[in-house]
Amino acid sequence: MFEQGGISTILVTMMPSWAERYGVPRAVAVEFPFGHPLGLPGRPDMQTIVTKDALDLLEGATEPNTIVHLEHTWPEDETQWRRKWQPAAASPLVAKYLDQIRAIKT
Amino acid sequence: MVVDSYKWLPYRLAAWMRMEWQAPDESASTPFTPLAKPLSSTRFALLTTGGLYLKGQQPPFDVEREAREPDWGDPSYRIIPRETALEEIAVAHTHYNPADAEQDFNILLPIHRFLELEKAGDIGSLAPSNYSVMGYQGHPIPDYTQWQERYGPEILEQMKSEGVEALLLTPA
Repeated sequence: MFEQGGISTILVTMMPSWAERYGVPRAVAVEFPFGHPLGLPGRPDMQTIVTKDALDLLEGATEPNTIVHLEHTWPEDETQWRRKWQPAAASPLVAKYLDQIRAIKT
Repeated sequence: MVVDSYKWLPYRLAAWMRMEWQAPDESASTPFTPLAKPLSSTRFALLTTGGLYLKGQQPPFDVEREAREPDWGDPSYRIIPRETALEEIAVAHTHYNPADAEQDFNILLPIHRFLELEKAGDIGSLAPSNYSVMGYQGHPIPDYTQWQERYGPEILEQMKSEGVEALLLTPA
């Protein structure tokens, strides 16, 4: 909508598979946990690196649906962070469908 | 490296999302506005879906109504000025842990990083107004009607009145 309105946009996404489906003018994908598209708090270095990657693509992309997967890996413990990004209480959506979710076989 | 969209999700939640969430395949109709000027003379605004708001000055996103109606999400937006200090931001969003965002909102809305880029001449400028919405807009098909018909156009008008030429979008 903003792109259509004449504003060039660049998305930072953690879910590139969804960006692909919806279609997006330009996106950089980063494998960071939810809530942390630009990295860790108090880490301006990390935030600036991802920001600059996004700006590079904004400048360099020549056609829509350009999605670049960034190489940055999350610097903290993965097992811990699979839990750590989650809200303390389940969202109302997840709470509502919890039985259904729990019933899924692994 | 291919970014795994489901990397951080518990197995069952990921499986459920894959089954339940429906994204239309609309990639064929994606618009594209080429960047008209170099970054160093471009005015930017920032928009996040992280549910950020100015503590004590703006109402939080309506998570209470969402608790009563889990298939609904608050579509309104908040304007976050470029002068906002770290301690002025709070988060209202039920779908992720906001602790880090409340400590340093630049991980979602990098205002201070953009001010640094502005000072260094890497970008033209950061606009006076930046924006937060709350990204959860319903289930199983998100309802973007309010964004498309009311709030999106309002934000676009504000951005245009401030001379915004480019926008960084950051989901939570």
